[in-house]
Amino acid sequence: VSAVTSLPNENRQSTDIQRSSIWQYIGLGPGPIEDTLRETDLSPETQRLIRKALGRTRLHPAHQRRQAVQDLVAYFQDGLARGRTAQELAEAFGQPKTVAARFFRTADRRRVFLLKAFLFVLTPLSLYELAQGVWFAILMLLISGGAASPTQNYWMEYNAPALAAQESEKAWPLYRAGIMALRGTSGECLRDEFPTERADDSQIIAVLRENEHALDLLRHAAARPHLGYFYTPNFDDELYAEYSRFVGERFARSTDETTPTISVADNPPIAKLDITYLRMLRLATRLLCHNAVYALEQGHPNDALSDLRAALRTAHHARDQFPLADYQHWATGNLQYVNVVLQELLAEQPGAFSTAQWTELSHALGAVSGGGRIRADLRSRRHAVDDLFQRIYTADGYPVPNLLHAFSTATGCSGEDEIRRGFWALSASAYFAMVSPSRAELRAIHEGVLTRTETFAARPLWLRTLDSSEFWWPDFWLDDRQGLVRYMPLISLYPGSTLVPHSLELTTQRRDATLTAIALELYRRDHGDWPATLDQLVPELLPAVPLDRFDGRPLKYTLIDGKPLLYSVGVDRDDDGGRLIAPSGEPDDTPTRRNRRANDWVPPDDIKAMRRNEKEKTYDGDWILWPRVKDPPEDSEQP
Amino acid sequence: MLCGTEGSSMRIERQLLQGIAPYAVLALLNRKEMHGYELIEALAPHKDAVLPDGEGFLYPLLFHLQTKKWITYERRTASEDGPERNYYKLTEEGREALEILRRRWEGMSSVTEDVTGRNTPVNDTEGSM
Repeated sequence: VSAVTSLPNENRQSTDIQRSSIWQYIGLGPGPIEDTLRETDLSPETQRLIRKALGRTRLHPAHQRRQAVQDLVAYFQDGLARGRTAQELAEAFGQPKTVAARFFRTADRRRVFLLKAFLFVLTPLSLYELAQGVWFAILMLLISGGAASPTQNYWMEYNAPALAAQESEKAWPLYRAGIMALRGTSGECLRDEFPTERADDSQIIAVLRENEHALDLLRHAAARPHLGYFYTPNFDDELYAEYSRFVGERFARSTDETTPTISVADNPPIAKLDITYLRMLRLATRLLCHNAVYALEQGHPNDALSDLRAALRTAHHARDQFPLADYQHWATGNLQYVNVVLQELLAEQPGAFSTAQWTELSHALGAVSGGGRIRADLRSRRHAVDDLFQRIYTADGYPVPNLLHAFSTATGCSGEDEIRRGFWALSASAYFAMVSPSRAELRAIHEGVLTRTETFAARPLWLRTLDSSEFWWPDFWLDDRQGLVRYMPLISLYPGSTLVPHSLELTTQRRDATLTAIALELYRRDHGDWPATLDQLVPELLPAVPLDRFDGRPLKYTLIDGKPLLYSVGVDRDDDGGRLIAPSGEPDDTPTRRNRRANDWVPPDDIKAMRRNEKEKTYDGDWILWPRVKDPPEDSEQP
Repeated sequence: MLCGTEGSSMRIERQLLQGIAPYAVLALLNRKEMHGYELIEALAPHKDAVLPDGEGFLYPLLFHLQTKKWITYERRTASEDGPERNYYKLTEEGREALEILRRRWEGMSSVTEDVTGRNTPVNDTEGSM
């Protein structure tokens, strides 16, 4: 009786599979064939024959290969044990390659198919993940070498004026107190443009009456020489809550108890600079302007003058703080608001103020931001990019390993947590870090771009041509898809500043028109009629005739039906005698919209091309500056 | 390379023999469990008919029968100090398959004998002349 030692077949197979590693299982390891052959005493030639016979069998999984090799080994061992020579057995065995082919044909097709399907999915994924890991490791090795260590603290620099000013000279604390003192919830009516679209006067008057104390605080604030706003990276929740309640606006930004308090000394990213003061000053300007109009209606021109002077001071304060490039057109919005109010008063009730009062307002208007041409200051643009560089590059000029996280933190964009974690985020970071140019290259490109932008902005509007050499978007950003990835840090920062230079030129033009309109009114008072030309205002009422920003020549002036009209040639650079752009036929192409279109930015060459096309009438007309163009009441509009 | 009448006849022979090999192996395993070399020894008198290309071709055949679930194997030793071998045995399905194969072979033999005249009475043949 033979002592049979055995294991159940299924158990044996499962043990085999457990013993085999996953790599052996999918055919990437030495496998059971070599394992079994290593334990035998068969000659190398015989082992070679067995390998050949099992070489291309595609037997899967490992237990099938193990079974096959065990059988073949046993064949030779048993043959030798029965006295046959290895040579005889090899000859009797047959062609090993043919045996392998037969194994291949007779293998379990169904199992192989499933396994193939499994491997078809798994192996590429595994290899892809493996490749990703290797790729990431290589990138990490290549780009690691230190973290960013920002040294330049722009916050401290921007806050230097506020720190240097004496407390009694700072306007911001009083402005803030004024906003906090606002009562009622009807401030929404102040969000409309003045005065054509403003809400019911009675509603505004109610707001003004309810907030005399707040207005008093705002007047006192406006009288102070410096804004003295201290940039803090922490959101002023209390102030925004009051402001939101008053104007009925909701703001997405809000801190909660879990938000840590950040100190300016921590050198926060420049992107977190908060322009809270601009929003608050805008509200202050509007309140003061409306109060001035109300005071005039009540027959108190001195009070009105006081409020308009205060409103102009708020406009001054809005541009007093270090000019943040992207917000300069916003900051000049205060000036534009007062400008509109003065133009309305000049057109509708010019007798509201005495000559001395108009003269005083003229001086105050002309003195905002130092007078003269209102220029774009793009220094903060340079600072913003330098600040970004010092946070996404190491001291020796290489991108930091986790570039996406560094970039998102430096630019203050949301989703930092998502960007910070995850294999794909890190891989993407590594990829961006790998393809990103060096700090020196990026800085050189940025300097070139910024210089072109500053050159463009420095020219008066009529000398701007905006050909390719002046264009502030390098061609490779637009044409090259890879460039979009490579120069992502720069590209992401640029769109905000593109319209600022044009916007400020328009504000200059509007302000000059108002100064001229005041001079015209004063001339009429002295001479009993309007002047024939603007030269007659110089030098008694105007130091010089302001320039038309679109053609560089004197501002255009004409009398139509005995009434004065100030205008610019507008974007078509062609004097049409003060004619508004003709209606396009579109139902919403109102006069104010057509007049706004007349000051669009279109390069001169494009306008010439349009002029050659006689059908093009989009910009054919002038930009009317004063009296202001108004839309007819809705019920009187033509169908 | 074989061609012509000789090559064609060899291909036919091989196809026939490919049908014989599984039948023979199943028939042997129907008697008792056997490992590979035992099967080869048992088939040795008919080696040219069952394994014409070599003894090694038994093993792919065993795999083939196993995938059809006609046979199964168990690894064990024959004696306490003997080597481990894969012992093959017939399954119930294998037994059914063997029966079917047996009937086919018998049918085929009958046809062959009829066609070749070995089953035809001598008198009838002579009578037809």
